[in-house]
Amino acid sequence: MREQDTSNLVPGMRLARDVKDASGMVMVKEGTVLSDGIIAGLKRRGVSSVMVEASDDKTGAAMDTAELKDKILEQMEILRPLFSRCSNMEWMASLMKAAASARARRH
Amino acid sequence: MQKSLQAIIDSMSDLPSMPDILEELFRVTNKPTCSSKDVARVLEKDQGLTAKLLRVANSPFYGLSRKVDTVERACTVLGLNSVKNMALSVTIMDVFGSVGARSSFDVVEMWRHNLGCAVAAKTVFETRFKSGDDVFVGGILHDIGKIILDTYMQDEYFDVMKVHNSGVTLLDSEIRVLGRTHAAVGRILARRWRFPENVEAMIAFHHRPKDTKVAIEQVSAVHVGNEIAKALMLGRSNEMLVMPIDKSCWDMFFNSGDDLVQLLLRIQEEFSQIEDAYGLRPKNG
Repeated sequence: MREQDTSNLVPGMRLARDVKDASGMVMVKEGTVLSDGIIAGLKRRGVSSVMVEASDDKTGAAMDTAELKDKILEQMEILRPLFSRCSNMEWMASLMKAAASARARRH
Repeated sequence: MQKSLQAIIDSMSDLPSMPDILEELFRVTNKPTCSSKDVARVLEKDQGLTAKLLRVANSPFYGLSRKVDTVERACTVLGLNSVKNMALSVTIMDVFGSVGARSSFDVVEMWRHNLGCAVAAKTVFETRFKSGDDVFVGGILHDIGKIILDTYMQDEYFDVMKVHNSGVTLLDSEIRVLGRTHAAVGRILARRWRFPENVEAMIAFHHRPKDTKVAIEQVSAVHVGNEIAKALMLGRSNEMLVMPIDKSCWDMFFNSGDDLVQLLLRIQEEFSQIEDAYGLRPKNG
């Protein structure tokens, strides 16, 4: 976890703490993945910095590596038939791997 | 078995005409002096549309820290183009969103796929270019031809799905039975309803992006987003297989060093933030 100036936020970063306004009301919840819209909203509200997860713990932090690996393999088995017409193309194979990885982290 | 394009157009004569509210919206927003007030005046005539628009505008997808409760305010905060595109998406989903008595595919899952494509295409587009608002609409509408065929040519589209289920790609099945693809049929609606040229191109060329004469970057983003939505299984198109993405389109947005997983995680997250607002979250999800 680290503090990040709002001006340096990038979509995809995940909030490590709730962002609250001056009255203590939660504006954006912990765990939210930042989108352009949310970042713009924070800037508009004059938020100067927020706590985000550090890049090495931004995904699957709670999941242990072995479990994640299993889940990725599981997703690969689901996706392989869907990619049957294009998995011999290098860029499509990389899309399949990335999709398996993204789905494993979410499911 | 094959029908001529004219026959298709004829059987589409009972296609709904463009809703007046969109016609007026396009007219107003085409004026250089158009203001938030002008847009609000048009859209607020339709209370149902206004309520849906505000629900979408207040979804976490747009990240507003304070709720907007009028169309005018939404225009000020999100921008006119954003609200115009939102109105277009919501209206079309209203007109064509009702589930037919005997659809040849799951219509709700199809709209979820369209929304998934919209989110993916916008996200991909914005890695290289500014404002993917128009791309978002292109994503929502890219398969409108399928919805039209399923609604107005049910028997023929059943035949298409029969051929498809025997292992032929959907596009080849459409050409075999209808002589035309859903992209060409979608284009007919786009012309009839006088969609902006770039939106027409995203509908007409999302399967063969190199053939477009306009908006190649936007068309390419929808082409890529369509397959990403399928890869992430966001909704379900009636063609479930991921088709090869044109290499030049892929290279337009991705370098070998890019963190593709992070990008896909963002797309998944943003999709889940917006599907509720469009009333599309599946009951068991």
